[in-house]
Amino acid sequence: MLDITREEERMLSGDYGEWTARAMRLIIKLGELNAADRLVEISRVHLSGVSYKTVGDAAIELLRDMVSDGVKLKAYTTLNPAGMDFSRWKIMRVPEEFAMKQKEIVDLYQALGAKPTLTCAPYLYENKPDRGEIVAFAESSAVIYANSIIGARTNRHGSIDALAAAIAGRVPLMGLLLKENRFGNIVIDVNNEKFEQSDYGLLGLFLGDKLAPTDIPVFIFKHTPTIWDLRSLGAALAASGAIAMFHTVGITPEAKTMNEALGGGCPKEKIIVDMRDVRSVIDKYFSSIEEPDAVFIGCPHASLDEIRKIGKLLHGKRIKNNIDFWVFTSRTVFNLIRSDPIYDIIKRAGIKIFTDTCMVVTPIEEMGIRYVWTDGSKAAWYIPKFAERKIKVEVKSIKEIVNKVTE
Amino acid sequence: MRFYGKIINGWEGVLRGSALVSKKRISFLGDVDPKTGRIRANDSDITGEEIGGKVLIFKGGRGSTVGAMVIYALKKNNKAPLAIITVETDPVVVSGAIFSNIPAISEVSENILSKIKSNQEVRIYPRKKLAVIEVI
Repeated sequence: MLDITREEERMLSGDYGEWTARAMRLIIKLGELNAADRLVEISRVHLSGVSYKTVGDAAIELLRDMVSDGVKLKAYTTLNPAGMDFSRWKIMRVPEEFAMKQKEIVDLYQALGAKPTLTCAPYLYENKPDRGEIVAFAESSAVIYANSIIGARTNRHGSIDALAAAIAGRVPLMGLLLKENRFGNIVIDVNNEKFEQSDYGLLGLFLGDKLAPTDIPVFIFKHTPTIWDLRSLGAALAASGAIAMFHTVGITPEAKTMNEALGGGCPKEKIIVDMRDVRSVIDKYFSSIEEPDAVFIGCPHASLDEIRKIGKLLHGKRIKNNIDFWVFTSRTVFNLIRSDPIYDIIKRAGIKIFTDTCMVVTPIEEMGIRYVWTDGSKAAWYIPKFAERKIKVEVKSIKEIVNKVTE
Repeated sequence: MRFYGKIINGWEGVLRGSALVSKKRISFLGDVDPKTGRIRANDSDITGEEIGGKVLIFKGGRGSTVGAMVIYALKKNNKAPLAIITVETDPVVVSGAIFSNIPAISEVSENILSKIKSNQEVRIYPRKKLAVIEVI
């Protein structure tokens, strides 16, 4: 049985309003289902479910109800990308009606007290948990990043229970919040010879589909990957599968050694993978595209390093006129890049940088786009599904993309 | 034929409905159209089927955390399944089902995915804290 404090009892019984009571009922139920013995207070929440394209009118109704009842979020809460760049949505060819609905959704979230950060990578600047800190993140790529790369503690929250956690300022103490549930149980030995960053994403799609949701893979790499390589890997693991955490021996904070990553236990299995497995994903899921009409970079939202890399690869060349080359990032990163000398090169090349949104949650099916190249496997995974396969996507490395779309 | 599972979100009495069975995991965001309840994932084994009013039996959740809100949207649009039955317990599916008040069962033996066929009539009811799932 789950023990609650006197204060929590008051929240549950409706002393703080019906929505607090409803949020508490959901959190307690989730705790009981997972044998939690108490709730724990949290100060940070990150919400998914912001784009009108993904949540539709149902979310508007839900949020309107909450706002008119005066709900205020207890935790510091940031928001995932919306369906458009708020200042440049017309340049993106977002339909007016969509834009109006999208504005209402973000306004409603703000009225609840959420910060309109509109990024899927809040862990870089806007909502950065400390190592060991307990938080409630939705957005599957932020969950796996926070757990694996930062060593913060979050369960893989749904958009609704994260919202409930933000209202109640609490989550059940269970799952990945507890040290004993954070050890790896399966070893993945990767020969990452000649891997580009995009290959780590494809590797993630390959494995995510095979692993169980409760698995915590422990990676050993022949060559040391970058933090952005690992981020691509994690985002894809959490897209084709439901993985919420991984370790990388010698790199991630809870895996100084293999023994530490496994918590002294024995792995149930060891899988050996190389480039051939990665390539098998391309044949299985993606199309081969001669020339794209759009290039989308920034899934997850591009970091400063990743945008600078594009600038360096350009060598002063321009993007072909018939191709939209769009980079998606947060407002914070955009403001940083604008004061960087490389911004001029990127701008002059014809690349557009958009904030507040991304290629997955903006209505690209209404922008006349049919053929897409991207370096982001998570985006490549979702885009054809949303577009009912009317849009074809191919994953390529940023190097190859820039090389082929410039003149 | 009878299966048992853990009650994730309870209901009153006996529910009867037509089964829709997938051996795969489902991401409600992306894989399901929230307006029509139709499965649009091309790597699904029930592509094109509509989940509204069905006893939806599948392996578990995957992918996006927005799935919970899609479940809420399905409910509002009257396209939600009559009941959700899974082998694995996925927090996104669980919170979506609880919040939208859809009867939900998990931790059912994986055999259910091959033993119960789509379009078979099933009934589900609670017994001694467990859920019973039977083909009629």
